[in-house]
Amino acid sequence: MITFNSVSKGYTNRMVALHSVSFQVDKGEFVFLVGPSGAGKSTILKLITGEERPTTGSVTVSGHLLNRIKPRQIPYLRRNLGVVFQDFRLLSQKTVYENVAFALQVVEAPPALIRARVPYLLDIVGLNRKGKAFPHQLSGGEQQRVGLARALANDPVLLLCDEPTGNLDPETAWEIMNLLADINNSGTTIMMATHAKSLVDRMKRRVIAIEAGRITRDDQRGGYS
Amino acid sequence: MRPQTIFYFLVETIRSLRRNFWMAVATIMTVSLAMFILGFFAALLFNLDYIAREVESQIEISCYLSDAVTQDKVSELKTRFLQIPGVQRADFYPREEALEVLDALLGAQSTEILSGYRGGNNPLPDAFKIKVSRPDQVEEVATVLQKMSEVEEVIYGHNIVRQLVNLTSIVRIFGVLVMMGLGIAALFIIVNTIRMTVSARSREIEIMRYVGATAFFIRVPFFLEGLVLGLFGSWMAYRLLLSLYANAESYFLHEMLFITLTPAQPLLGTLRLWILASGALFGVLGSMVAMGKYLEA
Repeated sequence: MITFNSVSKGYTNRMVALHSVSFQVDKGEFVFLVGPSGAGKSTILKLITGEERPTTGSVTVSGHLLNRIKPRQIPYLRRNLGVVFQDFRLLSQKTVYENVAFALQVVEAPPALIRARVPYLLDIVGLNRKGKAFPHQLSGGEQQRVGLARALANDPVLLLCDEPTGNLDPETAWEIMNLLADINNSGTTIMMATHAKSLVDRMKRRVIAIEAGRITRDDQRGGYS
Repeated sequence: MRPQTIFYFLVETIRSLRRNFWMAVATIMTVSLAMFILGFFAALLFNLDYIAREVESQIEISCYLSDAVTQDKVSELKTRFLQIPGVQRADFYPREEALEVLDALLGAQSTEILSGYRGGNNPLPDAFKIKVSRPDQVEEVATVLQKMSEVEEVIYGHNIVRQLVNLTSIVRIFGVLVMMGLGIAALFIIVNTIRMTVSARSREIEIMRYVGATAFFIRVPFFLEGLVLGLFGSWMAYRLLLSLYANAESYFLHEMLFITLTPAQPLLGTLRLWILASGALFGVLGSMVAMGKYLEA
């Protein structure tokens, strides 16, 4: 699903962000990416979405070799990926339903499919009664559920989560984690960058730890530290 | 492209224009002003050209023959005139005809005044009216004519021609400069308007990119917005120009006896095409500049 082969990434204005990072994630895995701020977690996620390109080494995602991907192919790569953000990034003028439908509209999904799929997605995240609400009328946990439903809209094979519980209280965070576990059980590969030690320890999934741009640990059933 | 995609583009364009309503109004006004002045100069140039051509076509060289030239030499002389490079026509204008014209000009008193000059006493010289094919050849041809022994005097309106040509080129240069300045101003404000709407929708654009919308799909609404602003602004400029021109045309027709404007059609028909086309171009160009690298990857 994801292969990093001796990937280094340097930014012109900073020191090197990643040093010869190699790992492989198979289909159906649930992987935590842990480490201090600025260690390189976000860079790894950006390399996977095609926002950044490796300076050396190769990145392969879902069969696409991203070193040489043409800009016009990136949208089609991203239709296989879902991304969830710490700050939810919902459109405040659109309802919950519209926020989820938007992800389908902009990839030109047929209207019939949108009408069938949005309620299904809202059902998965447990928000089927809140379709007409606006984001500001929802709690943080509910907003992240909308973000999750949107990320799943195009039925991605890989779900990337960048600190998805960073803005949530522990209980709500745990609910979101359970939801992610369910989604993972249905076959979607998940990679989640996080600082949340307790969640990682409780989940007992694969942990890749990064410090100063290098992988320091890769445990199949690890804890945060 | 799916029908609902086209619908989506239209809805998004209208929504965006409404969200930045006053900015859109300001943009349309600016484009409109720029296009109006652009159109105004174009119409002015057209008319100066028209008048210049009109005057030029009327300019002829009056070539008065010396008394020594007898009637039987006239046709030979005409052939020689026609051989001078640049000469298009050479028409003999006999002294009798000149007298008739003078007669007509003097009106009522003519019989009295001219009575002594009739018949053999006609004091007017025989002449040739000579037309050149291009106005700038007038002086050259006149010089050649002047040197011929059969020619007594050469008269032509060289100052008028020169001044008209000068005026037209000054207006043309000035007009092009003003148009360029205004064009840049119009472009600048369109760029800024679209940039505002792009940044107002940066969150939407970001999400679109993450869920895999193509760059084309993301760009189209902004592209359309620029097009609408440019087209609407230039259409208003055209309407303004049209009504102004109609007034000017009737003013010149009734008040200024010697100068007439080129008729509104086909001039404004052509101008409309150009104004709308350049308005559209400005709009599209502006939105492309505004988006720039914003939407890459």
